[in-house]
Amino acid sequence: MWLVPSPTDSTGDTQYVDLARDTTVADIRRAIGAGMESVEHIKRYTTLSTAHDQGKTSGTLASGVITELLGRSTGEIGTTTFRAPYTPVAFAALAGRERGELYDPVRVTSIHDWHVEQGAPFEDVGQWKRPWYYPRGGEDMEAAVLRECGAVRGGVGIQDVSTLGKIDVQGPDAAEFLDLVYTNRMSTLKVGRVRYGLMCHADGMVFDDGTVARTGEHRYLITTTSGGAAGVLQWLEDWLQTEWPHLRVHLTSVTEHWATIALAGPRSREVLSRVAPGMELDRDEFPFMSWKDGTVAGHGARVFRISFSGELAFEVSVPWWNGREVWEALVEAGEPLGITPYGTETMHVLRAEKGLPIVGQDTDGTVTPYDLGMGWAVSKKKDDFLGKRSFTRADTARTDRKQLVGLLPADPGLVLAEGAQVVEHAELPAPPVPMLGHVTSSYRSAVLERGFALALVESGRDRIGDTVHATAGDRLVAAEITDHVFYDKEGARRDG
Amino acid sequence: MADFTGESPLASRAGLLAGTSVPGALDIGEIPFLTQIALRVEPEGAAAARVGDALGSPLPGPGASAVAGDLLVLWMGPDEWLVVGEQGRAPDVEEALHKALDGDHGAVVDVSGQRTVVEIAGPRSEEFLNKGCSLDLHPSSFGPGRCAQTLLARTEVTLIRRHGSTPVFWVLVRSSFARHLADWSADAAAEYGGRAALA
Repeated sequence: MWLVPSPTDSTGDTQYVDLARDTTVADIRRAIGAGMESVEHIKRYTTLSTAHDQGKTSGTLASGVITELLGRSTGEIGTTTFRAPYTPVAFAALAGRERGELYDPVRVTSIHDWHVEQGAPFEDVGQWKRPWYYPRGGEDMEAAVLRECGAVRGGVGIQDVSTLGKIDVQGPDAAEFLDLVYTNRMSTLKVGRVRYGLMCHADGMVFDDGTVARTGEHRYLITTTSGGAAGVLQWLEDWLQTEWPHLRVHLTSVTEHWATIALAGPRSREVLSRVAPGMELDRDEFPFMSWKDGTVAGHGARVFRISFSGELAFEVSVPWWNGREVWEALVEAGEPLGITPYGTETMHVLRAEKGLPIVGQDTDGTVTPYDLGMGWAVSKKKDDFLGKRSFTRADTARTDRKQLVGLLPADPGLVLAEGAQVVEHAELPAPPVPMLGHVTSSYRSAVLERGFALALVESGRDRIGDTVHATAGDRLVAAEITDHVFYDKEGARRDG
Repeated sequence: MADFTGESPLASRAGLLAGTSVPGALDIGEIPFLTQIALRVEPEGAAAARVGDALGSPLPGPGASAVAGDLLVLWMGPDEWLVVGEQGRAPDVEEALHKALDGDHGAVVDVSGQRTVVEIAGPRSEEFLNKGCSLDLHPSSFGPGRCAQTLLARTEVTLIRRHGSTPVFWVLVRSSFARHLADWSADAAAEYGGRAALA
């Protein structure tokens, strides 16, 4: 017997034959009612046995049910044509040797083993492993990050930033090309200077950011986000090769030619001067947003005065194979000053205190430079650049778009959840509840001594000072909308 | 360069690669710190011809490499080559290429740190590479001097078959991916008697 009569279901609507395709006895009855007798026809009519198991779990049962409904013998009806795999294939056979350590390529920097030796847990950024934080003496992540943040704001910290993408851009039309792909102007940059830049897709939405250093009359070194490097290079090559083949520009990836080390904090100059005695490092000789070649710990280095924390900071690039040696020399030189290695989490907190967005965290492909409060990085004078035309589009030009603002929970001890929805009132109205936006970044700040967040909020900039509410578990908590820069608004700290 | 110090991408895997090698079958090792200069120039132009004269060998065409004195020149793309030489040659190779370009449009970039070289030699090397690379590596289709950008162990590499009486391949692998490739090699060589365990 294949078919058990049901006291409550005379049609077979709830009697399943194929669990993968949701085929029921009622479906088979319908097929037979439509005049089909062959299992092959019934299979195609009902999609029975066509799912990923190719009928392995339903084929026999289906033949039995059809036999019974037609009043014939199983032998007469037969089965559908069996298809490979006839027997189950183990996932291990499909995976082969791509498992465990070999599951996916892992990319490491030249300083990786030092981070491992210090007991740092790692964060995955694309295929890169980046040190997340460096716990000391049984610290949890929060304690370690507060300590690392305090060290950078009050002394000096050191971070491995080798994973940042680096592209050499050269040719007589390099300046014109960069003016087209960045929202701001790069052609006016003087040799020796550095400028922050945003890249937008043609829709005017931010897709990557980084720094642009002019290394020669016709040569630049640009940086990209760690995860975005390959995508940016491909994007730039696409435009060069298909839209602007007349531009004489060549792009070369140099990401792994250089190991790059960030020194950040009011005492970073002191540390660097100990291992780079020949370099003039004071603020007049080596101003913010400039770069210099020099010798660091005995190796040829390119040093940039750029900062992602708002503090006085230097980024030191040396050939990949000297990365660890120079890192250790800097750590040793900084030891008397309490130099503190810091990871990606501390970097994220410090930049959020300064209101600096992380592309891909505070943006999601629907955010313009204006939404980020970075209209200053969009040129009003350039004839054209990728994204420019979209800024005049009605929806993109709306003034009530979601904008990046700060959020300070009324309870200073509270750290909002990233992704938490922002709503107007403490009491939810009947659904649908209007959503004002969401929290994009949220941390506890050592220097602010409280929890703080960045959020994308409708008309956010016009609402600074308003109280809104954010979801926190099953509660709604009050938070004040603030400017997105929480610390050192006037930028007084960057020169140390 | 008497004062040269450095730690190559596979320095920590030297023992692993030695253990991966199997006498008479497979010999794997890193050739670190080679000079590598990326060159971009219009292939049909006068500048490309001047570069060829300066190197002592015309720039190789698609899928090929060329030996030019003590330098090896790899075709990397329609207007792109990589000039490979002994450690420490970067300044003089760069200067020679700049001089040959003579102000014409082109690019010369020192990328010596960007990749390291892994040499794979021995009668099993072809079969070994084909465990992680789908190119047909038989000498009739990938003979001495051939050069390809391909995937090996899901890692972007430049693969060259060198000239020699026994099979010898060079794999140029990005520095950050090099350890993954070494770890994959240890696993892939186990069936030939490689006794290295995964790090």
